[in-house]
Amino acid sequence: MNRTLILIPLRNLAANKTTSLIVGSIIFFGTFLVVLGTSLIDSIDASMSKSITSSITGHIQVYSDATDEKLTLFGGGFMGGDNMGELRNFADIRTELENLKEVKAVVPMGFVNGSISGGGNRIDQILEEMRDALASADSVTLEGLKGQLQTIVRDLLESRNKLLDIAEDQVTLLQSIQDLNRVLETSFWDSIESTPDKTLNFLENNIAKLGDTGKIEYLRNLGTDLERFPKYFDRFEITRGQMVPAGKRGYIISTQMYENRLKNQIARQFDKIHKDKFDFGKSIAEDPDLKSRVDRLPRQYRRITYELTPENSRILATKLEKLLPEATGDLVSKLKVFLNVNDDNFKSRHDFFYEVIAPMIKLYWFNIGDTITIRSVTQSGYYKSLNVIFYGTYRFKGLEESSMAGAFNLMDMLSFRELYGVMTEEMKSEMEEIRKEVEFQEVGRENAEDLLFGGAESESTTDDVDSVAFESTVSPTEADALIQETFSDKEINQGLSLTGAVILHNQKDIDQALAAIDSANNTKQLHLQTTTWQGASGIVGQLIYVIRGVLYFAIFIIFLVAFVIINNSMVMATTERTPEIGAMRAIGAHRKFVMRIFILETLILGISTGVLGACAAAGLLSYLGTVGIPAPADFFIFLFSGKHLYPTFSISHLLFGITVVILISVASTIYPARIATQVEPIVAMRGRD
Amino acid sequence: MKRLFIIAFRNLLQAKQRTLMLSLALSIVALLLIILLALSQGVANTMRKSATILVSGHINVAGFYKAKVDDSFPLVTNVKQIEQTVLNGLDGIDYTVIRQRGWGKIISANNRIQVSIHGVEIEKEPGLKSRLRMALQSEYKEGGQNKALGDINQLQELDTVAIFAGQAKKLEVDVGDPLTLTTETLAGRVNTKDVRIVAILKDMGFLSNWTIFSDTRGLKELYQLNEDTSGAIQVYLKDPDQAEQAMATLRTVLSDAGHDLMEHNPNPFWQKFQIVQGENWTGQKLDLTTWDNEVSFLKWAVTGLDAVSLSLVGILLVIIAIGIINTMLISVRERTREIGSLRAIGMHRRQVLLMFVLEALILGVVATTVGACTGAALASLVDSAQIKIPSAAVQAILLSDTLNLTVTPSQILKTIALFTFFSIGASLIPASRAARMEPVKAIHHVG
Repeated sequence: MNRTLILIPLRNLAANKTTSLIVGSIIFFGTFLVVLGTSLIDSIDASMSKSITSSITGHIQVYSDATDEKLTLFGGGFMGGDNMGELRNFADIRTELENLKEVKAVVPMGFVNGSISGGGNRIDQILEEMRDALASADSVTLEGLKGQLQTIVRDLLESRNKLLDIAEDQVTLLQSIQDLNRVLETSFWDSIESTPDKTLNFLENNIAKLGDTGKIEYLRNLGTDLERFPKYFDRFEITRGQMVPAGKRGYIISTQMYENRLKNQIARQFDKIHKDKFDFGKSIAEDPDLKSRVDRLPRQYRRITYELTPENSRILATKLEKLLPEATGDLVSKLKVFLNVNDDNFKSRHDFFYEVIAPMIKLYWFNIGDTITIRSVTQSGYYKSLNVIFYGTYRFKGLEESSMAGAFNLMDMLSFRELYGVMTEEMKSEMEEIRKEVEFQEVGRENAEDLLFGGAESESTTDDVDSVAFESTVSPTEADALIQETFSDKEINQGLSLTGAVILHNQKDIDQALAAIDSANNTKQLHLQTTTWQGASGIVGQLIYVIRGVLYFAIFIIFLVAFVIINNSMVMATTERTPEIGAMRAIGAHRKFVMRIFILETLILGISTGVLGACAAAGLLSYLGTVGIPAPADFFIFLFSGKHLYPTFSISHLLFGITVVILISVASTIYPARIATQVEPIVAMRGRD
Repeated sequence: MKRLFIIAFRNLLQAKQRTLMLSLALSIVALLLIILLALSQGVANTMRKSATILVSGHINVAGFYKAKVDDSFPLVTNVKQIEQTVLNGLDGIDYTVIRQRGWGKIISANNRIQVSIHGVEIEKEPGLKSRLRMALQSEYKEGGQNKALGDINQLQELDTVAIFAGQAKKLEVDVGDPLTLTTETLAGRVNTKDVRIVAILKDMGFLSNWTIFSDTRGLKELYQLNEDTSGAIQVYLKDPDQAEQAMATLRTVLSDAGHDLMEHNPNPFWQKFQIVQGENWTGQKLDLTTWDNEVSFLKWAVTGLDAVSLSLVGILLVIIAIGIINTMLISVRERTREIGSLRAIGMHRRQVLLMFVLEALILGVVATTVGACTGAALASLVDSAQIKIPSAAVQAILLSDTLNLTVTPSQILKTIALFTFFSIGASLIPASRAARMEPVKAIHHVG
């Protein structure tokens, strides 16, 4: 290669400024896009993998090979119905797998959906307090309790009357209305001190059952080894309360769930508006969604008034008067004025709510230390209630805002096994026997259950639809015993688990680890199948493939079009330079030489603008790497593994981008260059005309 | 004008190669845009179709009933009378149906899933009957026969359900098998009932995973509701595009008839429980929504798809614009002497400009028409092939397990108009350079 060969292309590039500029800018943007796109996608891939592995799945999930369904922990498109199979004895699996050199730990996991109800039955509480008051002959308290009960009864009566409009079974309803009315009569209370049992029994049998069970929330629960979970999922941290003590039963709720679903509605609205306004910079006046949220707020005042004691009502009324001298009327109208917020007063109202009102009300359904009743449908289809102590709330560092990372609440392995309802093979086949023997329509599942388990309390049949049929309730004493009970590490491990989360020393070893687990599985007959975190995360994990696919498709199309355009520009440039090429050929340049000039021309242009484009992308990426790309929505917090994505790039991204672009540009020059080589010296010198 | 047109056409023909190249680029992008638009429209159509079959009418007259302030039951009382008011008060109704709404678990011997239960009176729902497709046994059962078992008409009978193929696969059940249906009633009690599967239906995207149909009487019993209380009146219109206006009309009609209406909230009913629970009223309030509102939570897919399509096509158009500008600039330079001559024999600057613009116009129209039509043909072909989507994530995004593409004439026309407009815009720079030329200098130009 000689100097001329370099100089000619350089001169040509300078001479055909427009063409150079245009081809150059296409190459520039092409490289820019490829480098930016691939770096971003790899950054998202890495952050999402961090989110998923560090929140629930671990690096690898092992589960029973008895199920032919794929394990999907973040939802596979159905609600419930995941048949993960069962690992009968987790201890064996743990021992075998933890022997492998890649594996740091295996944590047992069991998944069970359950519902909890908030509030509880206030009537039951009142009746208990009445008994105490009667026992200590405290007539003042008794009178107060009577008043409270009558208030509740009046509300119940009103709602029962309304229910007459929609309910099919009028007889029962009318009976309950009659009972409620009786409680409101003064004569009903005459004999409470002389024959308390008669009165209280009536209240217990006829009235207490009408009381509200309260609101219901459905929760997804993860039963695990609570000692080892925080150790190996190192993003885990307790935000309130404490971790469940070792060897104790207990429940840990995700902060997300606690704040978004178990918090007082007004407080939640204040939180949400505060977040929209101050974190996302929305304005109440301009954002329609925020505006409608704000408009609904005053109507929800009961969420406060219901919670206030008479004493607190008075205090709040006085404080509100100070804050809002213009608001007149009773507490309700004052509160309505208070809850009427706008962009100017929101901050002060929000602060007042948390300083003054929040301490007076029950801010959350449960407080730390409360006993919660969780109800689930067991494997065999009957309902199971379990009392556990709520010890605290947790979150995964960096994923505070993501509802996906906070999807599960944690409980100990033993509580999980109970809610899950372990069924042995014999029980299963026995059930099947009974099912076959007896006509199904007559004996429902719960009756079969009765036969199997020695009968539940209820005797109702399937046709008796309004029954709490197959509920297996735990009596208070039993429940207390369960809560007090302690268990050993051995009990956690030697028993049922649904999956095991395998944590590796190094995520890079995932392929070796999979192979090692497979061979251990084969030699030791562990009956396992494995899936990586990506597989286990279901649709969420696949999403990255989709995004990648879309990106590559886009790059492909962009280059296809760029190829055509560059090609065209070069062909035209060649035609224009026909005389010049002819001259070169006439003074002895070989076809090869002409070809080289053209290719070199593009190469020089490609490398220089390609490098520039890659540098520009690198510059933008490093800038974004320091300021971060804010997550626009909840789901992105999970993708970004935090509120911001801090993209990174590597030399390989830059090289990849530049190489691809240069290949494309050289490819698009070959055709025009060939045209140039076809030029015959004599024709060329004659020119076009 | 005609002459200019002919000149422009000739010029394009003469520079065959570059015309072909630019046309190719324009056609590819037009084709791409059409396919992406068809995909987005396909998803939107699938959404509308499954929404209006599974969960919603074109308009829904639903609402909430509160026996006490803390309640929020998704119920409508006096449903027969309200249906009559709707029928009398609104023109353009095709038909109305009353649907019971429930939420619970279906349990088989092997598995259980959470579903929303739609109580239907199948004999009064010819629309539903004709639009639901039965699944072949082989679709949900290994080694099953290639024929559909069951009969949707049996939903008339008490304690029957029709479920979807995906659910049947999960639950490992077949037509005729029993299922246990459990729900939590209004009072928070657990009610349960054994039901019989009378039909297994073809899946309809994601929405059908969470939906089953049951006979309305059985569901009412489960919730202990009287005859005249139900979940929603679903109104089907002759022209579904009129849903928004029809809903506005219905709001007036119902409020004039003395019904209390909730403020319009364009979200599905199940997102409103908390709001209603917090509000300070008791008794009945009606809530009107369109089908669009009831599936608003699925719209992110269409929005995302549109965003990706638009940015991709945007980038491509910029590249093409650069290409057009470059090509025409060179062409202007090449033709300098020709332009000079034309100007010298009396052609106006404006005509020169027009000549070049016309070139771009012809190029744009022809190339995009070819691209758009090929795209449309390709899209229809793919659509009719009913290609299965392999990835669950893609299925979730496209709301369907087969690839649905819908091409509309308006898409094609819009694409052609947009692209032609665009190439004209790109040609303005070189065209005005041509128009600015001084005749004498131009003739002397050595090209």
